[in-house]
Amino acid sequence: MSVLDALYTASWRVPGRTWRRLYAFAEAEHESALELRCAAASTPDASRAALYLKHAEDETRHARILRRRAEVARGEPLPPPRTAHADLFARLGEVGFLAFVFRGERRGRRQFEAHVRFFAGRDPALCKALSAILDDERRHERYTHALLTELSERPGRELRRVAWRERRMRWGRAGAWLTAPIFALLMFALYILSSPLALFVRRDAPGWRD
Amino acid sequence: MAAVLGVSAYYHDAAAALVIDGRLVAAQQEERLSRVKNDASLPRHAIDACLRMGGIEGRALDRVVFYENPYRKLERVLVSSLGAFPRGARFFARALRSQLGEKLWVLDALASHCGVDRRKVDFVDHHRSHAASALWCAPFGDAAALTVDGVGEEDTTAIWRQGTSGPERVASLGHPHSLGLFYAAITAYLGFAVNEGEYKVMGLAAYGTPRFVSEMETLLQRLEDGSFRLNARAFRDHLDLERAFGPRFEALLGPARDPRTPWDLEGDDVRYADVAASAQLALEEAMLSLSAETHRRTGAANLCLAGGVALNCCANARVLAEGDFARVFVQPAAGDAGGALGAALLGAQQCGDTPRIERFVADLGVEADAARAQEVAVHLGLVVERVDPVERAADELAEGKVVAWVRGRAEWGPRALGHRSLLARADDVGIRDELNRRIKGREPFRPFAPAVLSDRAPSLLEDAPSDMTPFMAAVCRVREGAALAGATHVDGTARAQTVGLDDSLAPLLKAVAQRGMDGLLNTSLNAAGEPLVARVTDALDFFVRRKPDVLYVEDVRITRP
Repeated sequence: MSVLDALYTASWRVPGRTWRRLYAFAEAEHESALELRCAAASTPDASRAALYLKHAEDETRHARILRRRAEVARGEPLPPPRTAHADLFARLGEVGFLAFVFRGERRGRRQFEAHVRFFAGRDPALCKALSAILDDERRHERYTHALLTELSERPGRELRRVAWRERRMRWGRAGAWLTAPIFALLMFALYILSSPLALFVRRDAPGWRD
Repeated sequence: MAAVLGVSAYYHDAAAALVIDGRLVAAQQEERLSRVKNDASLPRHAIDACLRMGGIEGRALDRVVFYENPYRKLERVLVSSLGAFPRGARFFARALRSQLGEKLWVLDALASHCGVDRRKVDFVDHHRSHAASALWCAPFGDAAALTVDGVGEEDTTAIWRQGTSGPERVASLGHPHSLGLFYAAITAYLGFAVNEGEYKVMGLAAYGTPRFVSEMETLLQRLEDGSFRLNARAFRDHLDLERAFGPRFEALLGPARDPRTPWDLEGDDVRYADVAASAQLALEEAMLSLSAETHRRTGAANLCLAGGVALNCCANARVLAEGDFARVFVQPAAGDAGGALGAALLGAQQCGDTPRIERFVADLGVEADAARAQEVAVHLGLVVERVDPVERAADELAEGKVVAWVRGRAEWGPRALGHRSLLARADDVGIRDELNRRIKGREPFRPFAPAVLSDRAPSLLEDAPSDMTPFMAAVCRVREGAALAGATHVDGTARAQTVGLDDSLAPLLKAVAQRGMDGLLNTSLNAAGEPLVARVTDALDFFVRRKPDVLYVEDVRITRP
């Protein structure tokens, strides 16, 4: 077991973590489905549009399965995942989009392999659900790699470019995570300092203003 | 002679509309293309789509107009959170983050996306955008406009008359006295998502009895001058719009509904249906008072309604039936999306053009590409054939099949009007239940709407056709004997669509009439929680996932093998 595997499996042992983790997976699958639907609408090639739509259908099914498993783990219903998406196809172009999806599928496949191993003896129902998803992840990894190789003369360069972008995004997220409490503290201080102004705030009286 | 783009964004329902030489060329909601329900982000897809439909590039635009004043909005948000000191601390931080993060820079973002000089990007007032979208699109003159929504910059309600340079404000009501916020709080209290579940409250109301009238009067007091006063201490929209009701609200009406529990309208949920009925009644009475005051102040013969509250088709029907105006019109995207349309029309007028909309139609969005649908469907392994869609679909509808119907340009506004629709027999209650459960996946109390030919409407529906019924903007009572049971709500009304004889859905309605049907059940081509379909790939995606019996994209008939 790699260090990464050990970290993944250890994270499941944190109490209350399982349903949150599964629900976060459901959200990620939902977001991926949205990206793929936009890609299907944007690609000029009908066969690739069909592949993206099939992939999106898989992701939607995964999101449904994972949400249901999260509900079982939590013991009560959860709302359907609602996320925005980054509009990757428009931002990266089709080749960059495929590189991004391929990397995501490869990462997902590795994570799911670790999760399946972890749950094999502990939760057979969840293990079965994750295994079914894992099969799809392998297929998605294969077809996106094949398309990437077909469309790009230098797929390795595309993958490196996307990897660099992902790294920047990760740093951006980490920065936002670190600065959020500082921002909140500053805003709280500003709010307190502005508090005397509250004395001058008057709610609008009811009735018409001509 | 100017090309003007209007844009709404950053609250809910972002959209873009394009007016060239005073004519409305395209209008598109962002959610239909991004596939994120009520998408509020800068409508990049919608802007690009409008420019494509108009055949121009962004840099050729003479003006880009945002639908509200972002600076006055920031001021109102900050003042409102300071007024709630010290409870507004969290809201203050959140509001500043979103305002400083993107909302304040919206004009720069629009200039950058469109590739136009920043000096060409401007804004107009929120309620003025609404009023313009209604007055210039109305099929009549001599009209006043009444705009009613949650809140714009500061106004929540405004009365307008048509002046020589666009809508002129006659009077307005200020925040927090807002029918939109009142209904939003009721929506949240009943466990629905604010800005999305309001029409569910309207549907639920028909199942209840308005036995909380005095409680509603405590929350929303009507005043003698036709306005109203919101009991602000019972609401907390200035702290959290998603949970806009406060402890006093619950003390008055009982504990809020847990959204996670399934609906039981014969058991515990009767009380919530009664609350919905009482709130709906209070809203309708308030709208009638506002309409009477609008008539008194303007003396206009006709009325245009706009703003999110104008999407309440039960209230609209009562304003027409019981109000003082001869005719009432509601532009189909009456909510914030419609602000983009109003902003574009106002911008065109500022550029010296006269907005000219002889006959407003709702098919203003992206075109259905049948050849593309055919190609992609073949690659999806679906069965594809070219047919006479009207005769074939009429036969299938008569057999009781559910037909996904994609034709021409996508609808503007929340209603499917025969361009991106799911159609079925309107006389079959079984099909309705099947649609709700299997294909749409919605709550059991949600009604469907019938589409009927306008020349047959008087014999099937009371008060139809009217200026609102082509866009499903008002409910009508279904006459006895009309074979529309599957599309009639539990209270005997229907949010009917009347279809003119030259509209694109008319040939199909004529064909099903020859097969003995009074009309068709017409519901939006989407599942619960999803935006209405616009592009053909999204129609195919829906067809594959939700499995209606057959999909027609123009004359391409698509089925599963």
